Amino acid sequence: MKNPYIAHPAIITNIRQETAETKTYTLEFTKQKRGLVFIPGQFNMISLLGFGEGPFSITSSPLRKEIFEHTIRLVGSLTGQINRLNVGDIVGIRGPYGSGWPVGLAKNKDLLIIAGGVGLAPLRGLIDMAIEQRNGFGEVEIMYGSRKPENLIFTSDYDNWRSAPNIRLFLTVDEVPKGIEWPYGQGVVTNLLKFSKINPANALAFICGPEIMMRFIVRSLLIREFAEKNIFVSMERRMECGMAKCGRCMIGPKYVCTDGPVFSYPEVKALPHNLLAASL
Amino acid sequence: MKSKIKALKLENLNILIEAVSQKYRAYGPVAKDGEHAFKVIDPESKLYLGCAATMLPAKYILQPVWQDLYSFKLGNGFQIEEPRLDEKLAVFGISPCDVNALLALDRVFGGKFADPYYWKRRENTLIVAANCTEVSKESFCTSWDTGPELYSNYDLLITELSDGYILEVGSAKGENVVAQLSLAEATQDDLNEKTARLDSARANTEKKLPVAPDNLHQFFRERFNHPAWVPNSDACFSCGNCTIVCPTCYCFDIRDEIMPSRNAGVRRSEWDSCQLLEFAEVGFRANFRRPRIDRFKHRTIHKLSWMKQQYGLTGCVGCGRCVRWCPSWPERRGRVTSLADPVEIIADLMEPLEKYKGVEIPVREAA
Amino acid sequence: MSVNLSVTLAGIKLKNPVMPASGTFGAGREFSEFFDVGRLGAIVAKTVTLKPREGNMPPRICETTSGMLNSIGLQNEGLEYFLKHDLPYMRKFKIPIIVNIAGNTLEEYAQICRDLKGIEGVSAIELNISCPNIKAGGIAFGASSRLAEQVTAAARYNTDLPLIVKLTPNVYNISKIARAVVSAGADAVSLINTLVGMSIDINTFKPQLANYTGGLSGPAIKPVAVRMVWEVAQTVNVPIIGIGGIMTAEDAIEFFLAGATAVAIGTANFINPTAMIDIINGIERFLSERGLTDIRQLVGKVRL
Repeated sequence: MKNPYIAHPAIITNIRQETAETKTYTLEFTKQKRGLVFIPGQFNMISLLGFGEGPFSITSSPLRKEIFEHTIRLVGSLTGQINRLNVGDIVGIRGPYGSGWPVGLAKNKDLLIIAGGVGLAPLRGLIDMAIEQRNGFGEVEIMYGSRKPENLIFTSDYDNWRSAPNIRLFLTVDEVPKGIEWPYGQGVVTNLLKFSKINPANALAFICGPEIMMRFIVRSLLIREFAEKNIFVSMERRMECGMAKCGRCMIGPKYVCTDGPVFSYPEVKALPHNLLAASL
Repeated sequence: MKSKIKALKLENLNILIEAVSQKYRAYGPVAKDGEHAFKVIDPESKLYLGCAATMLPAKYILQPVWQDLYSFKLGNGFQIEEPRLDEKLAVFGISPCDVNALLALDRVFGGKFADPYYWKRRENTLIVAANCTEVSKESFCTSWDTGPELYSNYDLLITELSDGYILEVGSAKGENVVAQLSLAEATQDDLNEKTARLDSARANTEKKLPVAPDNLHQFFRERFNHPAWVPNSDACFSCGNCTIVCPTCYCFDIRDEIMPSRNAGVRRSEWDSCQLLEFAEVGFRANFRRPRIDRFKHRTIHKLSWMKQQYGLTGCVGCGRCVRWCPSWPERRGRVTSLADPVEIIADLMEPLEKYKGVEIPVREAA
Repeated sequence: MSVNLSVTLAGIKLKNPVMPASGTFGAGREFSEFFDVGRLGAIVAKTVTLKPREGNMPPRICETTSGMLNSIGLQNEGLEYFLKHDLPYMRKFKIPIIVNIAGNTLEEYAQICRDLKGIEGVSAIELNISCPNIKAGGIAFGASSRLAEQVTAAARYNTDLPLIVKLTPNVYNISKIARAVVSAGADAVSLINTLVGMSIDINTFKPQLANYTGGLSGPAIKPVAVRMVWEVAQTVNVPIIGIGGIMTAEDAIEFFLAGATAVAIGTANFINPTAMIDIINGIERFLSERGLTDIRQLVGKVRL
């Protein structure tokens, strides 16, 4: 019987600093030729043996065959150790786990991608995929915000995204420090929705960010006549195993690690705790 | 479903323990510190086959409290060494409710990411179950049809009689054990006595679920924000006893331990509990189940409804251990039973809302 | 059989697809002596900046073969004057008014957009991004996709009006610039602005313009403009206003076929004040002669 607890070694081949406390790591498996086969939105369990393991979204496009990437923010002890790693270090990888964004449903549809803070991470692979397979998707609108300009992630990718046809990228921050030139928006991400030009009848919305942000976004989308079944969110919970065994990540009867982390809005509505209750 | 294998008559258990001990390391419920626990037994041991007698259910033999998942060496990456798990174990005197709990755990640890540690032990373990000839006042297995009688999923099954035991064989592994013992077949009188005892145990079961199991899903959905949850969870200590003694609880933590040399270590799993505050805590100290009422609801509804939805088998087998081991001193709070009692929780949720007038339902804070 | 010339551009309904190019029409005062300005699809005002500008020293225009050079330097009375005097005048024509704006910093663009909020009669804002960006060392905003994107954003987040971005052809890859401004939220693009050119008087040995170089417009640039409209139409799906050397209806038709939804007429106005009216009539005649009933049957219909 295969042992699914065993981590596979992968070497860091590149590190890109996104913000003061967030980095993107490029990884390659050391013991197998092929890279990771996954859908954007899925995650790996990354192990630092002797230290611990944690769930992290895969942030590269699945079309990049040999490598895969993770974007990790320093928040606690495990991520603190990861933040100290260098190119050439080896980590353990288990995965991919979870449900990804429903790319099959998105064919030829317009995509409305909305993210806050580090929530853009699980969506980056989807954006890069939509740009590389430009003909497979309709118009793409990306609405993204963070606390300050220095907290925005993937800024070195924006020009690449903007240079693809019919992609719109809208940015907003909560506050702009003195002396910084900021021609974009100021305020919550929900404010950016007024720039959306796509037709909700032929579009899917993909949302990831703090739960309170997602709640207001869903509410605004429903007012704009987005169908509930066309709204997808990525939820987050504490995970230890990633395989529906350790019991931590449950919301009601659903395991976020296997039934999610991507859920459709109707699925979230059926969960207890009224998580994203968007009463109109 | 009754087993079709014929029933044998056993004079005393020691013969059986002896036969089993030849090939297996046998565990059985024996007296310990005024209570009972599963310990390694020998033919001299005195087994106690009462209803849900042991504090810890037999599952802790299959999913140990601490187990090494693998050891590793660091340096130029890492090398992993998995442990060998080929010891043959036997568990004597496991009650029907606990066997049904194992069936649920089989589904938890099976599926797409089957847990090899659980399965290596499960495949190598001989199940010598024991029907319960009396049901304690805390148990309500009859409401789930998980006891007092076991119909299948055993290797050997014992039922105590006035003058010995009926021994039924349920698998080839069980057959191998009894082959060497020349046992007589049970008589019709013996079988009648077995039926009479089990019927009597069923009839004398005091505790019953007030709601049929199939209706529990709707029941909890409708009452998720019922005020009755508030006084119940307020009085709870979140000590986690209920989850330790529950035969279907499986939640665990994975921890790494590194040697002082810093170039080797071990990755372990250890039991954990959803009742503990830190269980759902993440970086930045956000906690997805910080309020106690959330944790209290989670255990209750997971056991009584959600596990059935997730795995197709009930998460509560009515063993009554949580009722018995919850330290909530029912007498001091003027209650008839402890806080963890599922039957009482359901009964409280069926009370009219007027009874809870003035109870403030806490507004859920964001994580 | 009636012919429909009306088009919708970035949400604005125009009764025909013909308008003046910014800077060649003033506020329409001079031309209203020659024809009813209300017959145009829209009116596009001279570029307005936050503060008044004197423009460059004369000579500021000169004729070239099949065209002209200009280095006026965005002379205008400033926004306050515009709002007080020019805008009320233009409102009389009762056609959509497109206000063309320019600045030297991102903040200036943002400020003008904020000042235009709620002003009656303004149907859209057109961004002139051919100006140099002082903070970027004088490179024109429109010369790099990054700056073009930023200046579009500066306007986008400060106005709810339809936003048209006027592209300069003095770049290596105009399609990339077009995609960049669309990514920042432009509702339409207009192209092309003038090409940088020079004319030297061989008798005096001096440049004809005091500013040395100027912007070339007129029939000489039409093929470049048609090519750029066609390229941009392949790569963005926002409406395009085609500009560049349109003298006659036949010239305009080329732009429609290349992918423009509307056209703007500039240099022609200096030669023939009623050029735009002639062009409107000529387009109608072109369609009906071919049995076509709608201008949209031409847009983007070049056969490759």
